[in-house]
Amino acid sequence: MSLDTLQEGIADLDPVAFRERLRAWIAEHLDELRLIVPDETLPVEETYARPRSFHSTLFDAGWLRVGWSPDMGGLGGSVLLRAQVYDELAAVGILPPEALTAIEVLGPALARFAPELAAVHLRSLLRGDEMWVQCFSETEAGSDLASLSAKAAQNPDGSWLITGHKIWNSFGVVADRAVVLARTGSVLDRHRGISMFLVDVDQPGVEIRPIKVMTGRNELSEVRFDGAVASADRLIGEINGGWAVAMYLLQWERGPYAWTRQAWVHERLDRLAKHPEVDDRELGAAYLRALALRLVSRGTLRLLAIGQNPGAKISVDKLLLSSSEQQTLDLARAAFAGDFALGDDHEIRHWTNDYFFTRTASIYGGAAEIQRDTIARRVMGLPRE
Amino acid sequence: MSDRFEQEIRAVIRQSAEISSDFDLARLDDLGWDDLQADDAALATRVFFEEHGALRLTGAALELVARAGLELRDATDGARVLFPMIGAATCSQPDRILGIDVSGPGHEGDYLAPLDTTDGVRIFRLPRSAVTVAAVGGIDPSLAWSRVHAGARGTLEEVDGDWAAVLIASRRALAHQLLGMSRRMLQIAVEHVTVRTQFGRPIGSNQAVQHRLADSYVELAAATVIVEECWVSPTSLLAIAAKAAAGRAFESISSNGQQVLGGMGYSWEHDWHRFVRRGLVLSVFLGSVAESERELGRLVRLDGVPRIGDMA
Repeated sequence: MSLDTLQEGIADLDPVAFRERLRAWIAEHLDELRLIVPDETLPVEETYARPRSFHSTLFDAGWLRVGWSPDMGGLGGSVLLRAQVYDELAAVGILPPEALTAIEVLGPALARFAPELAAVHLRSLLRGDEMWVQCFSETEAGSDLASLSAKAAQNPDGSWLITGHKIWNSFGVVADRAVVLARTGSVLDRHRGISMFLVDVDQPGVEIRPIKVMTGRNELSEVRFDGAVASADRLIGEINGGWAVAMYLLQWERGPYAWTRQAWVHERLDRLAKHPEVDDRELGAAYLRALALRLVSRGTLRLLAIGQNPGAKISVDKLLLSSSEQQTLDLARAAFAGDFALGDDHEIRHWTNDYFFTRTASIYGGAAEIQRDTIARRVMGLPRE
Repeated sequence: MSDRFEQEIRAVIRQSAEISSDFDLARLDDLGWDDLQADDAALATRVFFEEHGALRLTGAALELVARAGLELRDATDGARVLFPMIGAATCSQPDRILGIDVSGPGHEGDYLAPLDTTDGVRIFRLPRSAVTVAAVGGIDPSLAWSRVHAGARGTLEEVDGDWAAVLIASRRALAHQLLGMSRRMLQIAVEHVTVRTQFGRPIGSNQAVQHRLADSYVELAAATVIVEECWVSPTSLLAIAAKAAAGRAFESISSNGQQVLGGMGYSWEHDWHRFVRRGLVLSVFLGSVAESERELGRLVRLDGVPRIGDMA
């Protein structure tokens, strides 16, 4: 397969011209893309086996570099342009896999809070040469993340020693590095005593164990840090400023990541719309929800693109994300009925995996209950107990 | 247009509402309506209809919007748009013409009715003398709607106009009205649960109550973005989607608000039922949630799943 020469100037195009160039490129490479798009019904280790041609092809052609700073492997321009890549791929039935869209969440936080690290590492992440695992949650610190207890102690030479146990970490089994929230203050400091680090997993002090999930795949993992080392320059943000980085990161989960999911939902609806057993009204209702998700996450993207903080209202994005995904897959489950229950072919396996995975949309990245609490208390001003 | 203009529009409408819940279109001159429409038609219309919803106003507001969608070239001053009966697509019935006059009683002029023809939906003038007008009661008689019917067609004068455009503008306006009303309902619910205390604390501090109202907030937010996009892209599909989403938002706050308002919400004295009654009619007029969603599904099946909204 040929590598395209770098597409100079695509980041300077207006959205319509960008889309036309993108569509032309996709049309030209459609057969290739279909061959190399990762198969998410396979075991995770196989889905993300190297070489990650799908991702590197999109990167090398420039499409995934738009919206990132040139200092960091990007081509400049607006994230709104890059957002179109997910739409246009989904429109032809090509779905970027979950672990790669996670870059939309990690990348901006790195670029904003650790630009020197980003200058060195972001390109590898964007290109799919590396994969990173987010190590935030612990067995005793899920929704109450601020109570986390993994520790980072600073050595005399400025490097950090990290100890603790993280859990529910996505795609740890294929990760090269970990983005870790650890305590640098006291537990009583709660969110004010937390820092974020970039930690290499290929060292004796890091042990990653797969967690097999409902789909039968090792989508999650637990990560034990026992004297793991992060050099001084691996701090992301300020000491005891990790919470601000995490909160910033969550905004990008609401905007661009939610955007990739609306592209995904629209593609699933493309398929359901062709299915005779799908009820018109239920299809319309699911489409209505997907439309709301799309327009709301675009609104958030627009704010982020001009450097504005969307505020507490982005809890709306998260709730629409989870309800849209779940409603669409509930529709699939109902429409496919017997096939869903007893079928074995590849396509059904994709749908059943999707059904299970979408159950987590209301749990990861801030559970739906927390989102509702936020809307009620911080947006509507309802009283606390 | 600035927030100040928006506040001024709202203030004039509210002043008018204190005098009467029937909004006299003559007051539009006080608003400088023609200038507003020229400046920012979307803002003017949006605010106008949201206030109509929040204040439960009646009157000929929809007439304004519907006529704008008609591109009338004929002299039709004094004629009113006749809307299809709930559940119908046009005013054509097997044995007669039937529609709803939503602009208040006492109309002496003609009606402009959408009827089925072999060339699709066309608009025809119904002389006042040819129709029978009767007040509509139903669940919200305060709407002061009238049922208008005429015998089998005979020869009617066709009027130049685009019924699809009338529907788009009308559904969008109604969506704004439903949203303005639903937001007011949410505000009423929030105020109530904030002051009502039981077991030593406001009932609004309970998570179950908070989550109900948060869900309604999300429905309102979802409907808001869709209605806004309908100004950017005034298509039939988006207008249907806007109406459906606004209807869903109304259903959500109607249900959740009813629950958290307890006994108060059930009383005649409290305004709550007036909002509910109004919404129960508006949410099915020009397409119920179910009809709209079914139509969306049909459109999406036929033409593919649209990716709506540009990326600028």
